Amino acid sequence: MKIFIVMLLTLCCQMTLLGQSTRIIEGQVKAGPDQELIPGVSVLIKGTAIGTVSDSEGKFRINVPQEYSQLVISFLGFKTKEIELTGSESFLDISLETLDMDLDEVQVMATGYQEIPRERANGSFVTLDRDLVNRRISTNILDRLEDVTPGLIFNRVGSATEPISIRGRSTINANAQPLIVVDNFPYDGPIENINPNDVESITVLKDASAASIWGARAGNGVIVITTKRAKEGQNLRVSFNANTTVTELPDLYYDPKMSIASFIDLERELFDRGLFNSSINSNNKPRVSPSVEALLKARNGQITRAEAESLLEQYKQQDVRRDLLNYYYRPAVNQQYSLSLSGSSPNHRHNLAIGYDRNQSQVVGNGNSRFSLTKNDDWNLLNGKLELGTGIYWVQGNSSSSTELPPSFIYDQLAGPNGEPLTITRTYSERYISSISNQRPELLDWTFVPLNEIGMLDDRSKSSDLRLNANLGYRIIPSLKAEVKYQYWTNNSQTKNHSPKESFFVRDLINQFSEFDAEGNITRHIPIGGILDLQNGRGESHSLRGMLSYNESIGKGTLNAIAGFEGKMLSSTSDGMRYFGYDDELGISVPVDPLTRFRRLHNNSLGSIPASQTHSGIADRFISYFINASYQLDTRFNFSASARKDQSNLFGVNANQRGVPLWSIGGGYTLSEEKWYKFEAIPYLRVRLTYGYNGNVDKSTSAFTTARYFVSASSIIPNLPSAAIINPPNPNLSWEKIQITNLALDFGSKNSRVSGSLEFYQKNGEDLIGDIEVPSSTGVYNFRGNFANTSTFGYDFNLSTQNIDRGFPWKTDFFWSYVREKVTRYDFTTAPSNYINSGGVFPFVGRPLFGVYGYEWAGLNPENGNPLGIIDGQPSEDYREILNSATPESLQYAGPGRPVHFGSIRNTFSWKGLELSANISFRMGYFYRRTSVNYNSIYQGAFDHADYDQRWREPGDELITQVPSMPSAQNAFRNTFYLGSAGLIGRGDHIRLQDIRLAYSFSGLNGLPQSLRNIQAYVYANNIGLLWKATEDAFDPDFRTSRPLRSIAMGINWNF
Amino acid sequence: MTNIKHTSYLILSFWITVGCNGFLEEKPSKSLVVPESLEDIQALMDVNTNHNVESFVLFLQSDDFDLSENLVNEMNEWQRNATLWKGDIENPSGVTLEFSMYYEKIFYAHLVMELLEEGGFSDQQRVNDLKGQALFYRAFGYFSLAQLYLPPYLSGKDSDEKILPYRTVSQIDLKATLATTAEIYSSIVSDLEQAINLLPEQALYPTRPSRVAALGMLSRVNLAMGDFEEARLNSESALQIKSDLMNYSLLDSADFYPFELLNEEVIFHGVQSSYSLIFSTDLLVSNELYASYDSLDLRKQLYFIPNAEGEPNFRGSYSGGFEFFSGIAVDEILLTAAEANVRTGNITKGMEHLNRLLSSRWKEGLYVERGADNLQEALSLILEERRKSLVFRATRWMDLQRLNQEPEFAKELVREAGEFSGSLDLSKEAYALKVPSRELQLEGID
Repeated sequence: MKIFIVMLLTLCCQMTLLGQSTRIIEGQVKAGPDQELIPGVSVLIKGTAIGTVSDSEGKFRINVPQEYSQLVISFLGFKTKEIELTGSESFLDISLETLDMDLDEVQVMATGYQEIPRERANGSFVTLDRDLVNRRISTNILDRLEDVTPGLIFNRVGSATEPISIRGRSTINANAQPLIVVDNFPYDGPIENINPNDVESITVLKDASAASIWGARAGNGVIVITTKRAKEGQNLRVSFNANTTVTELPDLYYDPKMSIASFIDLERELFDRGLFNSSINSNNKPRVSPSVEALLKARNGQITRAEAESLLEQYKQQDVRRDLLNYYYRPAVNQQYSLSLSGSSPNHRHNLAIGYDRNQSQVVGNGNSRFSLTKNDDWNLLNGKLELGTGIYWVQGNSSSSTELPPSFIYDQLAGPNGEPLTITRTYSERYISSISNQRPELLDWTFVPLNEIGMLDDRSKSSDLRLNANLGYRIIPSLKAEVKYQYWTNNSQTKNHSPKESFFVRDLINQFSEFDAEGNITRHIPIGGILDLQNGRGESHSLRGMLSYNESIGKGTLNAIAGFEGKMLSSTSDGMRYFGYDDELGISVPVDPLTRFRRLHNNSLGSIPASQTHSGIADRFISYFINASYQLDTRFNFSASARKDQSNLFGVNANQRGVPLWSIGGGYTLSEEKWYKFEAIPYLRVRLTYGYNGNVDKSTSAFTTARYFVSASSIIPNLPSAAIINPPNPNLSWEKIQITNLALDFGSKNSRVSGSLEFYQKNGEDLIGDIEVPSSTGVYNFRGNFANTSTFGYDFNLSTQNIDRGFPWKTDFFWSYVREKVTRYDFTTAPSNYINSGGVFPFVGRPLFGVYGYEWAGLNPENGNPLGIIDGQPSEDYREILNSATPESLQYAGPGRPVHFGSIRNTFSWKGLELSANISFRMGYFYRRTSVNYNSIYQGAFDHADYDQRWREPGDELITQVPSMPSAQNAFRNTFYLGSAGLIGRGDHIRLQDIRLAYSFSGLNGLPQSLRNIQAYVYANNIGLLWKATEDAFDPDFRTSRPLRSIAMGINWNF
Repeated sequence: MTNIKHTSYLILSFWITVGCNGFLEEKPSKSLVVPESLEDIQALMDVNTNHNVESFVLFLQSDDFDLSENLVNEMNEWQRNATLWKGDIENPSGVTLEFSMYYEKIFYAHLVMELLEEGGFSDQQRVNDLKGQALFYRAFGYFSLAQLYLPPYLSGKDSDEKILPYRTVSQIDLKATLATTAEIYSSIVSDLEQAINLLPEQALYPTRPSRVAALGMLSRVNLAMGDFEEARLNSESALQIKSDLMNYSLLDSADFYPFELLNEEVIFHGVQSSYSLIFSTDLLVSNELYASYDSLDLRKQLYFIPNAEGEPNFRGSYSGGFEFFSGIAVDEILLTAAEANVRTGNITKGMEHLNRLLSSRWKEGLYVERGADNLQEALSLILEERRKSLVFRATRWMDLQRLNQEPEFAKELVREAGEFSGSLDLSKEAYALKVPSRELQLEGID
């Protein structure tokens, strides 16, 4: 509250100082080719230090004492303009001319609270303008950041919960996702619901100064998405965009697997050794592969061994992947359409957009669609003193799936020679199904014919997402504006999964719960009919922000400050229910008895009907207070500072630990504005330095013992609630803090032929929350707490050059990011196996968070093909000892597991109306562990890695292969050693031609009517291929099990 | 100025609304709790999937089944190591579940005792009940660990070798101390004795510990320690509370699983951890044991069912299904009481218990009362029936360990299947599994 009092006091003083003898001058400043309104322009009364700056809409209002009559309008990169006041003007419409140094365009840093022109921002950020956002074609908005954002990388290895990292990872195990802000508020819905066509720009905030306004949620960086609104003075504009993307078929042979012939030979060998007996004899009647079934028939004398062998030979010719490609896969096709109308009248601006996306997924019968409707309006009222804005954003997403890929053996055959559907096993063995079907003809057909099930399921989910925004701004006095912003968000989703009674899933469940009495009469505990699973989710949030912004000349410079508070409440609930005996036509279902335990038919085990009722609910509460101020001293110096305190309903934290204060300071110095600056080759040079703290909230971690309640009808005492500990107590838990220092240099050459920036940063993560391994005698295996510090050093360099600027313009955009993170503190040791298994993040002091480690590898034993490790410097086959004596220090460390260098180079060529751009990306300085044959899986009859065919078989093979021989029995230690050995580590470095875009604009065609000249047609090809890789392994180092699929998109864009 | 006032009113009113009324007290997820109430604490004790489970290794180390070449091929490596008494069931990458599962029970027990301590609850009866449950589970955990990781009590009690990690509080970041065999057993006995005083005679559900369960468990521990007088007292006290027996003649051997879950003999429900091996039709009951059942003995038909080859698979679990029962049931307590009576000199009483049990296991009306002329004869008879009744119950390993301390019951165990073999002479060797190396590394003990 102190902030407000101070502000109010300042305000009162100002009010008294401004007497009657002034006049109010209002106006707006435009610049650039589109005559866009420019915020942050300095408006100074000539001969005084009194002045103001234009606000985020490019407007200003200034009190000019009667004795002065000239205004000086200046903005970096533009010619300074002096305006003579005649005394009769009510509204000044000022247009600035660009300086010949012609900075590309006016870039602003949108923080979600304010828009700060690049020249006044000290922090580190990247802005993607509309053209760059639209360059790539995708359904998802975040994809458009890839390979064009310095410092931001899409992670292709590691946890799926961390798809994007901004300047490395800032935590060990807590929340690692950047904060996504859409139209000033953190976005609560699924990101898929943002239509990229509605997006005006994206700003990525990277350092403390840029992001600290988001406080405890900014630790992983912030992505600020701003949607389109109409601009002031803009004529009615209609724009239409349509495109279609076609993606090639998946490559099912990409993941290297053994040949089917050697797999069948292996199965024969294992069968003869009795290794399938447990499955064959199991009371669960599990299915076994067709080969095993054939061999078993031979063993039981039903067929001869020769007949079995000929079956095996036949199986060797079959391949289920062929059938899957024939019957299940198709090219994915994504269609995208959008239409928008925007325009303005003097006091009103409006924008309406409709978008429709229709995606046909690569599996037949499955797809999704999205319909979006956006309407926003802005009004200026009371002579421009009051601004009112509203926005309605409605998105309806649908997805439907009617086909699932059949779980099959690799040489199962799905279709006969004439395409007739064939039966394969699923769940149960052929023997059981045929015998029980004979014995109990009352049962429903228990066979599985995959092709008959294509298109059978009716799984749909619908989600509708509504965002209502309202903002009200009132200019109390020219320099002070009060704003209230409110957002209501709600999302309703319904998932309906209907498996009809014909589906295997339903028939199987009904049969399992069929019981026969002594007379052979059947009782079906699950009625015949479909099974319907319904899941309904509702979420809503209210966000409210109150903010005062203050722009005033003070002394020789101008002060820009905002202060306010923000509150948010989010709640979401979901409920799910399963219905049996469902008839979709009549809309009826039949209750079942979920409590009684019935004997399941196939194995006589007791079980209750898998009915499900689920409920969940979450609530998020946040209150934050923030202040952010910057002081611009003439055009040379800029100082900024910000502070924020966040409080939330973190679970199980004492009230006094709920909040965390975070702050930042920064300064900028434009050297090129100094009189002594004479370096003409670089007419623009600026240094920036910022320092501060960001935080990271992790709602899943708690200082208190936390338990989760479970109630299940199938527990031993049905419906007896139980509570399992999910979080053991840790009274010492505290918040993660990330300290960031950023030093940057911005430069621009004459005519802006070369421009760019170089930023160095140092990030120190303090008290990072991570898991440590603890002895299981504690009752848990892992324990979460503040156990680590990290230190990350990096730089982002970006350079844009206009290589040729007339005739055949050629432009190059290049960025190169370097990020080297290092663990500087880790309180505990962890088992060496954790460093090898890449499941979690296990720190090692002095090394990056993600490292690639391996057991020392000494090749193969030439006598028996056994893999050799090293104990005390000697080659050894004592795998148990190798694993047990290993320490984290004794492991071989190959290097970082994530790219240390990455970047891209994008060349854009234009000729007449044609524009061609190609993006080449690179990732360097990292390693990966490849998979190889897993003999434990082999012994379980799995269709395993292609290395099996390359294995050592006889002395001499060690010269041509590094794949160990097959052990005579399962040997878990040998297997673990080999799969974790350093022999399987490869370099990840590669260069990739990511995409090419070709566009043709009709604007240059003089013969065309004006309305058709604003058409742009484009073709975009993505995932084109690797240009170079360091490894000799056959696969793409970043996509080791499935290839990134090539796609091509075509579309048009029409503005009129 | 009025505008400013209005604005600040607006801001203030919002601030007041959200600042008070527990705006930040809202629970972030419905199903989460910080356990505080007695109901929450009871729910912590009702995690049956963890607390009522016994290790499968106790069974694998026993002579209840015969190892065939087929079966050995169906086993995981650690199962094979357990079966062949290799002394080590470690998992090369990660946690040894058969070790950690007991400490998880112990952790819950400590947490519950601490919550009860801090809670200041007035309902003393429920507090006692819950504390008793926690003590029971702690004793249960340490007793099973003792059977797996410590030498038999009689051969290990005088050793001051510190072997097993021992904890008395839930605090995670505290290192464990290692305890000797004698220390572990004395802690088990003391916990159970306290639990007996705190628990209600019988529990609402047989999945929860009760006084009768604690007495039963203690009599088991007494046997393992060779303390027959205590075993007699405790088993007799248990039988005072509950001594219902099923009449096996009334059960239908045509049912695949003839016994009901939570049947009237169950004092405390428990099962062994389940692996795919328990479904195998190659898992055959020991041939020698199977042959020893009388043809009028209904246990033979109700416990076993022939597989496709006509060889006997076990199906007589008191879990009513495929899971092997490992809880406490009246039949076991009767057998314990019979043995303890005989060993403390009361042959008549002992034989009385045995005859009561057996008459309920025999075909209706066809049971002929057994008699014994001397202690040795009575004991042999009771031990033989103990083995026959408690087959596949995970108690056999404890019996093998303690009986091998007596020369007349010593038995060398030998297994051979294909290229695999193992043997164990418990009368000469105090066999125990090695504490997993991960544990010792992380405790900082090497």
